[in-house]
Amino acid sequence: MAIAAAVQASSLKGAGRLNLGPLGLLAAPMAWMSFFYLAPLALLLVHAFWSVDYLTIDRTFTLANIQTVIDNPLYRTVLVRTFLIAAAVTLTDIVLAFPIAFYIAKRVTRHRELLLMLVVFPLWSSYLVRAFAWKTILGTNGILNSFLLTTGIVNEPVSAFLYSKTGMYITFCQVWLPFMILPLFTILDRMPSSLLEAASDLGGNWWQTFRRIILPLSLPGLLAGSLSVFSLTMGDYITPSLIGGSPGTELIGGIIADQFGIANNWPLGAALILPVLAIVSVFLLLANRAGALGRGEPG
Amino acid sequence: MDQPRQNRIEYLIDMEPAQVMARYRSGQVTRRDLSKLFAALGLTAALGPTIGRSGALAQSNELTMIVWEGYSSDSFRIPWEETNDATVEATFASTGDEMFAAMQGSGGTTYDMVSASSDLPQRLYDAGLLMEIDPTKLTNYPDLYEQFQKPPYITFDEKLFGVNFAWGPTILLYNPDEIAEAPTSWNALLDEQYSGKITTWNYPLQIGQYALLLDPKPEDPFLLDDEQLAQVKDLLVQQRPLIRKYWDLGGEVAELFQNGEVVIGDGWSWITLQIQGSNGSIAEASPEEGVTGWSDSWCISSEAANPELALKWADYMIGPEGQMGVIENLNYSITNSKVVETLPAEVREQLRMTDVPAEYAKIHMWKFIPNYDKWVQVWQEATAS
Amino acid sequence: MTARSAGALMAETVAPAALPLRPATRKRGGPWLGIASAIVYLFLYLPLFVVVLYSFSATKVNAWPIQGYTLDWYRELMVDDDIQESARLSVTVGLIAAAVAVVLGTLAAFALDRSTFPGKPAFRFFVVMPIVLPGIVTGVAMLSFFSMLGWPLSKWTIIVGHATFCITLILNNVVARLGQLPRSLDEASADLGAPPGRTFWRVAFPLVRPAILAGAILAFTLSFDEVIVTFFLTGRDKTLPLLIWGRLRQGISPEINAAATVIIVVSLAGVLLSNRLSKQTTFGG
Repeated sequence: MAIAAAVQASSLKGAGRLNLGPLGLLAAPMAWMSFFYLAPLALLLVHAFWSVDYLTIDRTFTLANIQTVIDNPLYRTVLVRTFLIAAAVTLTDIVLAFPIAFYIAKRVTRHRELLLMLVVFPLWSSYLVRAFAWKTILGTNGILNSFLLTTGIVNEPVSAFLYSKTGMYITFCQVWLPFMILPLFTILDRMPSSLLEAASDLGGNWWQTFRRIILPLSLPGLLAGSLSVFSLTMGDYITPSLIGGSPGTELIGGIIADQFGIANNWPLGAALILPVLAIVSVFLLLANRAGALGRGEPG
Repeated sequence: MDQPRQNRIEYLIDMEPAQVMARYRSGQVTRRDLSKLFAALGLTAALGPTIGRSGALAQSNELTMIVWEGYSSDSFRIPWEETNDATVEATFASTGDEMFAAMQGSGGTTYDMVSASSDLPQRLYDAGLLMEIDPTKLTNYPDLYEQFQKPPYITFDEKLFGVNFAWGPTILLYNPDEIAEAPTSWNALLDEQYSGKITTWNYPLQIGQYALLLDPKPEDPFLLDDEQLAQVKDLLVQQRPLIRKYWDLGGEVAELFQNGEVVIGDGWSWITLQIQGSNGSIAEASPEEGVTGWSDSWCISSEAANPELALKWADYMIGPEGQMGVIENLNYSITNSKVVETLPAEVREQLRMTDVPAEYAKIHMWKFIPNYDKWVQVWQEATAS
Repeated sequence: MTARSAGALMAETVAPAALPLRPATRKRGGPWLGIASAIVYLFLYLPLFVVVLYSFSATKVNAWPIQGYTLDWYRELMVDDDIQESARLSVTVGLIAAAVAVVLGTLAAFALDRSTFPGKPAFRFFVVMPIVLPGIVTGVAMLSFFSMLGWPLSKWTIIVGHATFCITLILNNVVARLGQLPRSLDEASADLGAPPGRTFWRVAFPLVRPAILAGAILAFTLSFDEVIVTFFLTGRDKTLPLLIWGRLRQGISPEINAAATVIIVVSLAGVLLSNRLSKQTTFGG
């Protein structure tokens, strides 16, 4: 009875550094993860070193795809473009997230859970439809332009909101925003109010308190949020397809998806995933270091 | 729930067929309504069973296909489903490449049939994904124009691997409300005056279309050497800042025109019908350099679950109802000579079928491109970077 | 894909919400903080308003301003077999994937919480990967794997894909909850003479059950809206998001707005349910 062992072991906790009691419980989940996730991931990465020969995959080891990814300016351009948009979205979302996160964490008592739920709720509606709704908002004859025209801010409809990097940027900011608010809230919530009060007692103004105390202490939350936003943007091809589509708006997610769909060049697609994986892994490590991931677990 | 629907069907019966189809295209009449209507009009042999039923019966008599938009339109699909006691599950693809990837990715098991344009079957055949077709099993086969019976793009090793049922050009589309005079050249898609309001199909095959603008014009726009490819790439790069959006699916083109996002682009006559059906403003133009085009065939997967059923569909689509369905729903040209001969002269002229072999020869049909990955690269670099 | 990360982070917040609320201190800053927050909330909800609004729009094209109002799209939704069938498939896939994830995730959570072994942080790191890495990576990795094994793509491959990232969700949720439970409970129960199995079922399990349930609801909701991983792993079956994606690519599809509104309403019920359940944890532990 593995579970009996678990309970037994738990009462012996602290007796030694190695406590193998309930490890048997790990067997099934580990088997699943190894077979259905780690193995496929490894296989995918190996594909990067193969090549495609008209219709079949040639399994001889080659660095050709890696070379292509490095040499061909197209991929570099698209990767940089994706990175920059992801960075812009992340920074914007940080700015947008702070007011709400701070408000819920420090300003309200009673309706906390309701306000939190309101933050998360948009995620419970179809992402596709929300992205599509931005078309209606951002179009040349759409809601935003209508608003700008009637208020006289512009004289002609602005076509740059849709089928552009701007449009994608706006859409990404909105759809990923809850992922920045939540971890930020978590970290602000744990921040002792006494700390902030002490700072103001010592004569610091709002901006100083924010810069010297709140911001640095929020770092784990910000990193967790940034990790999510970056990862989501680096892999997305849906929003670029709906809101992008004009020249110079292609993002790396779309190019990778194309290799596995249209172009039928899996090795090249796998090679293109490597830089994406690298970038996201860096974030992951940083976030882990800052303790943003584990729930306060040792090590 | 049944009450209002019953009235609806009676209301539809009193309408003109063209009206019904227009309402269907604009979304006011649903697929369900249409099938009930056909049933009510006695268009179906078996009046008892409902249409589109699911369950074990349908499972065994189900035909799956990956097709261009419009090739499973209700008006010709539903009667076939009724007569053959089967259901058709269609998935729309936006390009031939997508069709190929879908077929190859599943080893041919996911889709029984594919509506392959003339550039695709060779690749499918080389990948071992096509099933040979025995023309003696197709009742309508002798009625096809001779050139469509064993054309090179679906004939491999002397054997037939497809059923050629429709063809047509990729045309120049424009909004007559915004553009007074019909454009006469593909250069219109590179014209500064339409800057920011142009759309073009996002597909490497389009290099062939733009190759028609090269000087000297290549004899075959699909056989280009590196020099010519580089020249087309220059044209595409020139076009880039003028493009509003590269379109993927035909429905998108309709949306772009109707929302006023574009005023000129390329597409197929099916799109024209769509826009006109929603009371949009659209017109077709014939560029002087000529056009590229496509010739579509029904191909059967080598792993098709139900090859006999697939053959029946292919036979139906080259028969009178299928061919008329293609004309009515898509405005495409057809391949059945007997059906063509029954058409009035204006229709034949409009659909380029006054003299089918001659008209067909004028179009530069898509074909298998030997250096296709170069084309993909050129297109990606020109449009995506 | 988008919702997947939401789940991981939601797990982070479910726990704090379960803790007794600390008294909040009034901060300076006046009403500006509240106003700024309200504006951000509006930005968050803008597309939702648009979707719900346009589900009643009479024109097929999403033009502005709205020309007329109608319930036609909802009527079409009622008789649209394809949407209903794909919705049914999505529900099936979600339920099975969530169930598998609950079993495997809970087992792993207990193992992680109650044992220490070298490489544990590394393991914890790996376990987060399906949620954190872009969905496209998971999707294409599994696709190439199944293709190599010769497994045909079907709703079962979709279920496997969804279950894999759902495991992480359940795991995070349960581990978070277990982390809050004092060990003394188990010890006390053992001291009182309860056999280990009893202790599990009567003591530990009921306390984590709300977290498991909340996690399961989360997992189901995420699976229901997932499109990227599903896209690569599907055969001919279309889940609801895939169907919507197909129609959206064709451009004009106002019926989809009606479908999305229905999803919003149903999700509202789901969120309220999940909220009700997590409230229970404040009285546990």
